[in-house]
Amino acid sequence: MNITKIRSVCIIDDDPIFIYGTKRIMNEADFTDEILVYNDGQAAFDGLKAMAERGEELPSMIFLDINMPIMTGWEFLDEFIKIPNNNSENIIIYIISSSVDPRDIARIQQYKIVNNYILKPISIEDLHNILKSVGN
Amino acid sequence: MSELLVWDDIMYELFKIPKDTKNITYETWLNYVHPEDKERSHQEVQNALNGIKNFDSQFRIVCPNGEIRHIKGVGITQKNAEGEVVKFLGTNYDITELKNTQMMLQKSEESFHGAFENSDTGMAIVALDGSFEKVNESLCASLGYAEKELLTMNFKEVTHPEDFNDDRSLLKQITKGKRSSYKLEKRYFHKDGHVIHGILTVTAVKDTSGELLHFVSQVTDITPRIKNEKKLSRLVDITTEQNDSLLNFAHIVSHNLRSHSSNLSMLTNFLIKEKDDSERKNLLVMLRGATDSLNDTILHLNEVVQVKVGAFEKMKNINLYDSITDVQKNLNILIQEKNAICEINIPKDLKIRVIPAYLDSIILNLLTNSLKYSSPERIPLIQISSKIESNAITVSFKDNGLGIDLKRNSDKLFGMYKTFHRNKDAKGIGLFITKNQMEAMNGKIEVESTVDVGSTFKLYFEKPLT
Repeated sequence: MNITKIRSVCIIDDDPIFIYGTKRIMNEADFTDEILVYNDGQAAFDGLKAMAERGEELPSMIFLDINMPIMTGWEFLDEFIKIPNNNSENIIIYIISSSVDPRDIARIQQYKIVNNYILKPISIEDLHNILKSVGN
Repeated sequence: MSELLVWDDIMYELFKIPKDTKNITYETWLNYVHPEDKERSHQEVQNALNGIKNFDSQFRIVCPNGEIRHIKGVGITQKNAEGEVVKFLGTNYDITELKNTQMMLQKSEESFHGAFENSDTGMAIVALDGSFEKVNESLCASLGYAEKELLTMNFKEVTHPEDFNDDRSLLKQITKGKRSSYKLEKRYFHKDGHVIHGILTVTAVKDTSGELLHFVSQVTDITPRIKNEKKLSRLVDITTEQNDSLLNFAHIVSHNLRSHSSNLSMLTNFLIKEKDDSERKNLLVMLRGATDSLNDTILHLNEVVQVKVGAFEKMKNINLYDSITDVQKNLNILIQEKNAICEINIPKDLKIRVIPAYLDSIILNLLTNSLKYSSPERIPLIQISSKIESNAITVSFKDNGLGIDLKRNSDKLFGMYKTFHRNKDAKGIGLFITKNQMEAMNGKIEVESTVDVGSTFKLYFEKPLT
């Protein structure tokens, strides 16, 4: 099986420990060479929008938290799909959250651009699985 | 004049005497008359014979078989040229049926009257124009009027305007002969203005020719039942709300504890594998941060549980002005640091009914928020005012700070761990606790806010018990 690295990953999460851990596991799994981090939905939206406007290529994968200050993961998704040239069909979005609330899980189904849901803590096996599914 | 009487066949039949009975005299007739009517009847016959008064009377006879019958008797005297009475012509009619019917009618009238007066159901005889002709005590009690007052009124005057048309159109169907009665749940007004819920049954009363005479209205007062139903549905609402909030709380607990536990397990996993000393130190610092956060979260959750439990604490009448100035003194350093102005427009004797510790915590939280999220471009101004409304005392905390985008955040503003500014001390716990505390005191909190103009929090408190 041919395992390809992810070109670039964007982590949107307000928890520094989660960001540290995810970066570290990504390193171990040789997941990607480029990691972009935003600490809340608004910062991520502003940053990605600016990139799109400059004509830069957006990250090919987004790890998105739900519960964040200023702008939640849901609001980010609502706003993100409105960005012109967002190239969203080529961006794989994973929701990464601690929530086991069935209302959150149900809500994910409503977002077509969301690829899947991963319950925290994220493990190296999760990353391997992602690489496998992307490779296929 | 002889005592002998000449009877026709009908008389024999009436008195149930064999037709061949001979020598029927006045005495015979009088013997048949009921002992209680005998003397009066005899006197009346004598009066007729003496020309005092024509005989026209009613009496009872006792037939040989013991049966009592009611008789109407009419008699006239025949006189000769000298003016002497020579004959007495009399007719007897059997009016037993009529009498029985009259007695039954009287009985039925009496029983109607008794039922009408003593009924627990409000009853009225309503004239065709809608005015009350007769009302019973129960109706007077339900509507709060004296009988005299109601008798001068029309049913429209005591009917809730929203229900009048229904009632009138059903009544019209009766007058048009389309129906003879109807039943309707409708509202009345008590004399003092409050609403009475009733079930009204209207029946038409007609005379023998079918002409409408009046209506009989029966009103069952179901106000207590409706009140109970409302109380019950309010209880169901409260229970549902509490259930929702408990479920929400369970999810909050689960989410918040999970986020820490997942960090802890991740960090310990790294620590086990990590060989590099400086990285191990780094991991330990993070591990300590994660345990501290877990501790904080548990403290916060405890605080929330305390609010819910604390609702059992006694509410007291508290002077609002004193409470605000006390909190303000505690915040003096922060107020001076921010150069803030605090205007308190509260009557110094205004009291509200609160759990004192909650009130302090709420005031502290709102004032701190206004100071923390003040605009760097303006001198912070906090205005606190109060208003006495019909069923609450409202207190407004108005600031000219950063404001919050309510379009986006209104449903999250009072949520747990929701923050809206990139402020390091923002924990998203204050307003969540404040809202819970207000609700525990049967009050509520509302907010109006414009980004970069300011926020106004409006608190609804219970009035003090007197």
